[in-house]
Amino acid sequence: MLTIRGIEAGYGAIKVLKKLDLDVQKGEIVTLIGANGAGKTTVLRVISGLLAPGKGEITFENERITGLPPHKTLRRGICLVPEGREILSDMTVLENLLMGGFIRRRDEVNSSVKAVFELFPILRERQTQLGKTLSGGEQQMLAIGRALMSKPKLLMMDEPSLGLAPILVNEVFLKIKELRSADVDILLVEQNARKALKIADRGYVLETGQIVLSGSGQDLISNERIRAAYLGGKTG
Amino acid sequence: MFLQQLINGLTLGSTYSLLAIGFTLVLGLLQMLNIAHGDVFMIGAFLGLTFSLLGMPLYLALILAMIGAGLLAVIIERLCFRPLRKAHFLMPLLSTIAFGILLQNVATQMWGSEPSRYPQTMEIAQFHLGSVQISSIDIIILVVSLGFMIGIDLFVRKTRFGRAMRATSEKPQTASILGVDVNMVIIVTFFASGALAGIAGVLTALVYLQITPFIGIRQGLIGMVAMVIGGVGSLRGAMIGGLMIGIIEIMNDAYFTASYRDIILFGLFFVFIVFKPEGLFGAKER
Ligand SMILES: Nc1ncnc2c1ncn2[C@@H]1O[C@H](COP(=O)(O)OP(=O)(O)OP(=O)(O)O)[C@@H](O)[C@H]1O
Ligand SMILES: [Mg+2]
Repeated sequence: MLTIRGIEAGYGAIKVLKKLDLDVQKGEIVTLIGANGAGKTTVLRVISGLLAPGKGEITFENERITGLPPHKTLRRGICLVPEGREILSDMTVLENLLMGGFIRRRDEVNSSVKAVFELFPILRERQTQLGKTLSGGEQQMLAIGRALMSKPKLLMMDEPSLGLAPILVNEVFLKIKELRSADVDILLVEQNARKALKIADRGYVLETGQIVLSGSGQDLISNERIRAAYLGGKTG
Repeated sequence: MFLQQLINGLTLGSTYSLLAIGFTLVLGLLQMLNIAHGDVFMIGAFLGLTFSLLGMPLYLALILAMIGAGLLAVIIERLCFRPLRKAHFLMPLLSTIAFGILLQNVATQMWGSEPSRYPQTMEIAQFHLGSVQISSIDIIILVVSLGFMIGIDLFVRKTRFGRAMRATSEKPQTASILGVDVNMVIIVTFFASGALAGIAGVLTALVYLQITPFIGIRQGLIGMVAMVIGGVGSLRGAMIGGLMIGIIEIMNDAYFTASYRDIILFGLFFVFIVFKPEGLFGAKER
């Protein structure tokens, strides 16, 4: 339902993405892996509308969304959990969630808050605390919960496991799998390539702004080149 | 006597607060000062005067002046801030200084540089509460400005759009990916800041009864002093700061020498900058 064709984008004179193609089908978890600076975050920024592409076309549910600003792509059903969580630090946990439901009707918002509290019970306990007083893991859960408040059709997550303790990383990946059963498609950017490929239906490997490999999660995990470059060479 | 001065001080100060709130709203959103803000206040006063001369009742003149001043602030956003978003951070400061001077000159052309008399469109009643005397004008000023202060405080804290304003001032990009049209928030905020300045302009004119195209200069600076004393970035700080300055000013005039007024107020500004730069309500960090 998301198709990206021939996207070129960058920052001023710096060209980052070079003729990039990528798809996410209905019901899929797709992961995008690549080294630091490969352009993963830039891909997500272009899709969400934070960065206008120089060339190329993006369509979502057969409609062209190239260059739409973020508040409009969100209304189409594309939501970004940004790199670094970006919690609103002077607002309470509940206010952060309400902001996540900004585009929705008041009565729908209340039931979504309940659903998020069920998914992340810790957030219910913390609901009156300010965002800045949460631990890193709690902030990550809040960032995901806040994104779900908009009822996205496609959820894009930029390194959701970054900076989390191993046990929390597992929990976040479990939640991501749960989301798929909740009918949300997912585009996942991860440093943790092994875990990401394990839960993904398909994966793309990005190197200096170009897709160099793509395939099913299982194929990529057993690919020699990927093992050497992204999976530390060990067997998984 | 003291109680009387206190009420006079609150009345005057509440108009300063309205200005300080406008500075704070814009500053919180764009981290920039609108130097022409005092001149929006002045235009508001002249709009009120013009509508009153046309025979409109006070409430109507007030509403129209408020809308006019709000629209003027939106124009300032469009001309002085938006084209310069990627420019050096001092550029909007310079452009608003220039725009303020432009407004003063336009007002001089339209209404003359001599003081214009503000027409009386209502009977002024005096009320006596014990030793305290309070006029219907004072009551209107207090009710209108305190009403708007409480209203804007509740709006920003409790409503959906108010939350969007707070989100936008903390992290504009994040607000936009949560569905907030950031440009819309900026326009509404400028309108609100200008409208409050316009109200302050009309209310102040009701007290002094004479206005010139240059009344915005001191008023704007006082609004900034109020903001600093209250704590830069804090809405409630701006309100308290304005009220405090009003009280200090009136007390100075009553018990000391009126000609020392601005020495004391602007001296206080530096006392705060040096010894308490975060002001009464501002956050220490950031
Ligand atoms: N705001 C910016 N201005 C200029 N260059 C930028 C900017 N943001 C990113 N870049 C450059 O674009 C390239 C891709 O950055 P991007 O953030 O997309 O990488 P990434 O794959 O997400 O990396 P990481 O894994 O470290 O998050 C990098 O070389 C980076 O230096
Ligand atoms: Mg990144």
